[in-house]
Amino acid sequence: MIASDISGWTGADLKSANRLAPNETLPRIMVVEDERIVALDLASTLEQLGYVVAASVSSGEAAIEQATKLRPNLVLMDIRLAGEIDGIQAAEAIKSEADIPVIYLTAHSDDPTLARAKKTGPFGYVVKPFKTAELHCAIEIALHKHEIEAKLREREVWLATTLSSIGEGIVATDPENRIKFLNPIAEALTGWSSADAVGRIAEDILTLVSNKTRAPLGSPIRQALLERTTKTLADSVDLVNKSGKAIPIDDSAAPILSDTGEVLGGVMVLRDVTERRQAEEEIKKLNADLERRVVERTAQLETANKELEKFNYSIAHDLRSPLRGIDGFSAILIENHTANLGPEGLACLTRIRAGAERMHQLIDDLLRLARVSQHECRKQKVNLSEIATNVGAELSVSQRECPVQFLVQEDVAVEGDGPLLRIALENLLGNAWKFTIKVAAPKIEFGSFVDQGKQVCYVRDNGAGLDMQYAEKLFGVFQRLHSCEEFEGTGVGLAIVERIINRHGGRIWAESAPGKGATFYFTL
Amino acid sequence: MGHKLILLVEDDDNEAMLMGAALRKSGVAVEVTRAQDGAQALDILFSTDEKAVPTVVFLDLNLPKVSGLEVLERIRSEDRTSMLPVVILSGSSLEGDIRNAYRLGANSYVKKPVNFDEFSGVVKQLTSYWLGLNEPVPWSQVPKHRIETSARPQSSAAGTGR
Repeated sequence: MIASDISGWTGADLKSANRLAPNETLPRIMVVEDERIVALDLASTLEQLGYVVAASVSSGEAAIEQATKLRPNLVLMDIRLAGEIDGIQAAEAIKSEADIPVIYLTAHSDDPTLARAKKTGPFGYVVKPFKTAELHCAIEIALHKHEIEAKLREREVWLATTLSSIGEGIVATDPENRIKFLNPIAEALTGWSSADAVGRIAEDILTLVSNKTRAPLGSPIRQALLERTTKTLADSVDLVNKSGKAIPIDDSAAPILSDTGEVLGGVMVLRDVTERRQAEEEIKKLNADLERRVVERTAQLETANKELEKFNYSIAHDLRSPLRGIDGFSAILIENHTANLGPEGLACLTRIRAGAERMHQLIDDLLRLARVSQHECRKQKVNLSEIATNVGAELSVSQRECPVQFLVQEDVAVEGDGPLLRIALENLLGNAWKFTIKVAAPKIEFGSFVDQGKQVCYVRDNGAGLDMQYAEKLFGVFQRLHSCEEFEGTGVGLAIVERIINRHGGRIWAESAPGKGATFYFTL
Repeated sequence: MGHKLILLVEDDDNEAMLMGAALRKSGVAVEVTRAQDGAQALDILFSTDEKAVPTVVFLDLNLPKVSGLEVLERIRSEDRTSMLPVVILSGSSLEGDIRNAYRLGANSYVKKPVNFDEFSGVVKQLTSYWLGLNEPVPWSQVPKHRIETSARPQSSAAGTGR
C-alpha cells in the first residue's frame, strides 16, 4: 500500500470538525495535492464554498485507492505529484476504475501536458493561481455535466435493456438505411449478429419475400425513410435468414424523426408469426374440410332422398298389381261360387275386398305424397282465391244433408307453385268439408291477413275440430286424430300439405279444439 | 260385323285371367287370343293367317322381350295393321308412359283400376266401343278418349270424403 497521505485528514474528520449536521447531499470532493499548504488552503476554500472534502491525498497511488474506496463526487487533481505516477495517469486509472469526474488543477498549461490531459476526458482544467470564483464555477459545471452524462448513460442502458428484452425483433438503421442496431430477437431471426450486421445496408440483413409468390419485396425501412411514414407489411411475408430459412413474419417500419423533422434513421419491428400462420392455415384447412364435407353430405342426402322417392314411387306402383289380383279373384269367387262359399265365406271375401280397397287408397295417397316431393317447385304469382273457389265448387258436387257456406276472401295473391298450392288447398278444404259433415250449419272460410310483415293464409271450419294435445302428430304420414269409423281418410292429406308448404319455405300450424272447428294457417 | 277377335298382350297370368272374367261378366261375345310377350304378339299379328288379325289389340306396356311401345310402333308402321285399334291397358299412370303411348298412336290409354267391379265396367265399355265398329278407320281419325281409372273424381285430395 502506498500510504503517502501526508495530510492525514479524512472527509469524516472535516465533516465532524466543520459541520454541525453532516449532510450527505453536499458534494464530496477529493483533493489530490502534494503541497501541503496548498492542500489545506484548497480544503478550506472548498468548505467555504459549501462542499465536503472527502479526502486530501498527495500521491497518485493514494488518489486511486481513496477514490475507489470513498467514491467522492469529484476529484481535484494536481498534475505534478510526488510519487511514481502523475495526476494524468491517476485520473486515467480513476476514470477506468470508478466513474468520477476529474478537474485538473495545475500551474502547467503547456501544450503537451494539455494534450495528454485532454485524452483523459477531464471535466475541467483550472490553471493556478486561480480565483475562488473560478474554482467554484469549474466544480459546479463539472458536477452538473457529470450528472447529465450519468443520466444519459442510464437512459441508454435502460433503452438497450428494453430493446433487448422486448419480444419482437428490432432493427434500427441510420438515415442511409445502414444497420445501426439489432436486438437479440432480431439477431436470432435474421441469423446475423449485431456486430456483423452494423454498417451493412438493411436489405443485406432483411431479405423479405412474398409467402405466396416467393417474389422479393423491397425493404420497408427504405420506404419508411423515403415516405417518412410508418409502413406495415402486407400479409404473408417471409424473412429469409442468413442460412436461407424462410420465417413467416409480421412487421412494421417507421422513420425516426427529430424534433425538427429531420430523419435520424429508421426502425423496424419484426415478429415471428410461424405459429399464428400455422394456426391460420390449420383453420383454413379445417374450414375447407368442413365445407367439403357439408357439400358431400348434402349431395349424399340429395341422392339418398331421390332414390328413396323413386323407390317409394315404384313400390306404390308395383303394389297395385297384386292388389288387383286379390280384389279381382275375390270378386270372381263371390260372384261365381256363392253357393260353395256360404255366408261366412262370402263375408270373409267381402272383408278381403274392403281391405284391398283401403290398401289401394293408401298406395294412391303415398303416390301423391311422392309426386309432391318430386314435383319441381316453380314460383310465380298465384291467385289463391281463384283456386280455393274452384276447389270449393268441386267439393260442393258431393251430396250432403246441409250445404256448406263457403266464404272466400277475394284476391289473395301469393308467390308460389300453382299446381302444388292447388293440391294443398284441395287437402285443406277437403278436410274442412269432411269434418263439417255432421254439423248443422257448416261454414268454411278461406282468407289471409298480415302478421308481423308476413302474409298468413288460413282455412277455417266450424267442424269436429282437433285435440291440440296431439298437434305434433297432425302433419305426420298416416297420423289420424279421428277413427276411421268417424271420418274416412288415410292420414296422408296433411302430410302432403305440410310438404308443399315446406317446399315453399313456409310454415303451417293449426288452432283448434274438439267440437269447436279448426283453423289451419300457413305462410309461404 | 262377323267374327270379333281381341288380341290380349299380357305377360301376367293373373291379369289375363281377370281380363277373361271381366269379359265374361260384360257379356260381349268375343274371342280372345292371348300373347304372353311382345314377340309373340308380333308373330300373331304378322302371320300369314288372315283370320289371326284381331279386331282390337289390348296391349300391356311392361312386357318381356319386345315392350308394349315397340309392339305399338310396329303395328303403326305396317300397312296391314296401321289402322288397327290399339288400347293400352297398363298399371302405370306415369305421365311419360301415357304421353309416349299416344305419341306412338295408341287409341286409348287405360290405367287398370284396382277394384274388379270398376275394371269390369271399363272392359265392358272398351269392348262394346271397339268391337261395335263396322269397319276400321285410319287410327288417326279414330276418336281418342282416355278412360280414367275410375268413377272417382280426379281430385288429388287424399283422404277426403269418398
